[in-house]
Amino acid sequence: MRKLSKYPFCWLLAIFLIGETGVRLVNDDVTDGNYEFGLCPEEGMREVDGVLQLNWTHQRRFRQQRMPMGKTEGRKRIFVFGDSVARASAAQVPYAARIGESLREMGVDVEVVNFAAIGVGCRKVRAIMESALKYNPDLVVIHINAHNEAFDERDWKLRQQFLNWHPRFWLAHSQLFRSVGDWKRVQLYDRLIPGIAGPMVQENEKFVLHEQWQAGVYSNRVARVRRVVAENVFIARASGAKILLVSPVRVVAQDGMLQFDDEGFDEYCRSLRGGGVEFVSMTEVFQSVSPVDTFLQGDGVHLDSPGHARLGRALADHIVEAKLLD
Amino acid sequence: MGCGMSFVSWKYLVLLAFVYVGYWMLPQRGRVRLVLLASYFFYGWWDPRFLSLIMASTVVDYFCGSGAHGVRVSPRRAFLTACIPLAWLGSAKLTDLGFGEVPDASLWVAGVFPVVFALIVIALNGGDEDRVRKRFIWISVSANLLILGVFKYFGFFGESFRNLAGAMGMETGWVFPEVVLPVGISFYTFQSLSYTIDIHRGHTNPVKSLTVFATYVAFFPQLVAGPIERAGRLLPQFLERLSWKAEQLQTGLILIVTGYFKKVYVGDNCGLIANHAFQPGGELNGWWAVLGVLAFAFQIYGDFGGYSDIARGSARLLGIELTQNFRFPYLANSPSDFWRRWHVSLSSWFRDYVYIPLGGNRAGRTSRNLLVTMVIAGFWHGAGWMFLLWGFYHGVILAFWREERTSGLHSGMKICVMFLLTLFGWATFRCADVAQFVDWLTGFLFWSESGIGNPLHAGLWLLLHVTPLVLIQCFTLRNRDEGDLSMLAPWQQGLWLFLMFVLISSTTDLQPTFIYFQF
Repeated sequence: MRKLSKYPFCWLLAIFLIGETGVRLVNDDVTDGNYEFGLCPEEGMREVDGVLQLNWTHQRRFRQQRMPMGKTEGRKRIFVFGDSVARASAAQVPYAARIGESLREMGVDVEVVNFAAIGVGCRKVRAIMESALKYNPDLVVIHINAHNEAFDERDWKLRQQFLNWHPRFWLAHSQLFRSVGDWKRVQLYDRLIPGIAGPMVQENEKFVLHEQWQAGVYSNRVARVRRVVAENVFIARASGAKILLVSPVRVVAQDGMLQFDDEGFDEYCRSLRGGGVEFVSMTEVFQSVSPVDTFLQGDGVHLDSPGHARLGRALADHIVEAKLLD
Repeated sequence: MGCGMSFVSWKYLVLLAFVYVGYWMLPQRGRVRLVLLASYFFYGWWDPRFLSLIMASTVVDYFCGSGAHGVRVSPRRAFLTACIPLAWLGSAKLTDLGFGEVPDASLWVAGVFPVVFALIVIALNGGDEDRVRKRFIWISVSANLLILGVFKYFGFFGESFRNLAGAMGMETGWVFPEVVLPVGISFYTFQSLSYTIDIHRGHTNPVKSLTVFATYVAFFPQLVAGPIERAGRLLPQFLERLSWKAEQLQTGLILIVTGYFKKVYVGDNCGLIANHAFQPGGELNGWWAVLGVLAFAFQIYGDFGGYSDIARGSARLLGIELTQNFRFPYLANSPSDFWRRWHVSLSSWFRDYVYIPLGGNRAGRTSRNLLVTMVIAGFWHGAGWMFLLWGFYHGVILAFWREERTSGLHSGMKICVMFLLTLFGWATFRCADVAQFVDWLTGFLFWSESGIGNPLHAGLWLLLHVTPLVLIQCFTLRNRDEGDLSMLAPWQQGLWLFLMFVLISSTTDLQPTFIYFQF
């Protein structure tokens, strides 16, 4: 032992082991998230004193919400899963909340939790859904979208790398190093130099998005979204919850006219109907309204506040009509 | 294979581990061969085609070294050895092992090279011995400068000539072929060149074995960014019978960790601020002009100093000592002191092979010699006007700084003044062109808010990434070696290593590249 104490690297190992043990004992926060690229099951979801807290984290940008883990008798529970369209910006009231308002107006005792997060693709939706299903929802709303699939694919690959034997990630498996890395990222990187880090991230994302629209790539991704959506439906149904699918819409101006493009998801969702699975088409909800730009943002994909209100109302009506909470 | 094997990559660590294990298991002869093989593999990972250039430089200087010593060079042997680059390029062309396209022109050059070289050797062999020795030196100097000229400066001179002609109203319409700059070309050509010049000066003897000489030229820890080693220092170490020592392993690893810390934690993080401040079209104010150049000073120091530490550490694992390339450069109290601390192997190279041959400190010529030497040194860093300006600037401050003028100043004050002068120099080095440099200077006229970010936050970020470096250097300063922690007790060393690991691991988002590789 005395001989070993002469070597600094033995001390390094000893200090590391003490530090790692200490962090594991003291810090019960899950810090896997940043290294699992939004695919860590518990990231952003924290259980404290019987309450589930949803938080904004680096990879899962949820709206901040709280929900009692146990169900209140007689109160129905609806979970909404999706990306930024369903999540809505901080200034907006998302359609998930509108569903709750509308249903309560109709006399249904209901609580709605919005598990939608910015930038998630179908695999990340599934990861979130798998963690959320243990809170026993009566109805699951899955908002489909294929626009984040490039990031989803990239992050999926990165996660696979992280979980394999590669020495590049060995240090990141230590809770101690993760804590320091996360602290630096959240407390320093995101706070001190967001204007510097932001453009770098944007450049990177632009590149990924540019690559997404290459011939053949996008259609392959849409095909994968369909497959994963079907699997997600199966998983949610297996938990006993009924399902309401919301198909996406992209409004594009063509020859001075507004064209509604559902990217083939309406037809696909129709094919999944039945056996506790229902479907609402965003195209159908918004095609009849005029002018549609009051309801949709300039990108033709995200909803404005009136759009969230309208979609929320339409979904609530459909839930009642189809008796999805009975 | 566009992506090279950077020191900050797991590939390098795997290579180093394999070489380390193999090296100490093999007998002396096998060790040198293994290191040569590893060095060519390491370099070939960037672009195997350019290995032919290193081989050509090696062959020329090997024979010129012998010739410069007065040894008769066999033209037949010179011819056959000079066929090695051709054989390498030919096999690259024929086997198509993912080497990339081998242009026919380079095959022609490689084909003509042995013939021309053998003819030159025949022509040089006759006559007075002293003249023969001198001629061999000239061949070595010309060949190395030709390689540098073609691959590093051809584009610059061509472009400058075309611009000049355009400014004079002559539309040449010339299109110059784009020449790819091989990694580390400035380093290995200078190292190879010093071998022949040192032999001619009688400072060292030629080495008999081509393998040992090739290993000297291509030794992988210092191949792509130095330190530029002298033959008299490095070659004997390859010939020495070395035995494994735990101490070398330990101090070598400490150097490597220190190097990673400087590169990844200090250099890359400071680089975020520097790159942001110096981005094209950025609206700099006074705060950001200061922050940008300050960040760049630590970026380039962390980057290059870190690389040098990793290089020294890697070599030490193999029992080989490389020159200490950095000695607390920002503690310099005069320009000459700065160059005794910054990139020591390069500044001593220029001192010995350019400044002194020009006349050195001879009365009346010192300033001229300093200016010429530093302009060439600036140009060595890159084919660009801003590098020339940077070299000129350092020449000027070296020439005009007089100890007697600053003798009244407190030593701390001298260090501060020198640091400010160094920062100004870094601004010329970092700016892409004169227009950007003028923008940077203009920034000092505006101290109001700038749209590019909060300078207080950026300053805090900088402080957080520079402070640990300063702290560790407070300890290492005692032994005058940036990577030597031996003055600390083992547990303290362990603690520092741990802290460095933690800090390195907290910088995971950045893409590491070494600034000095481009030179």
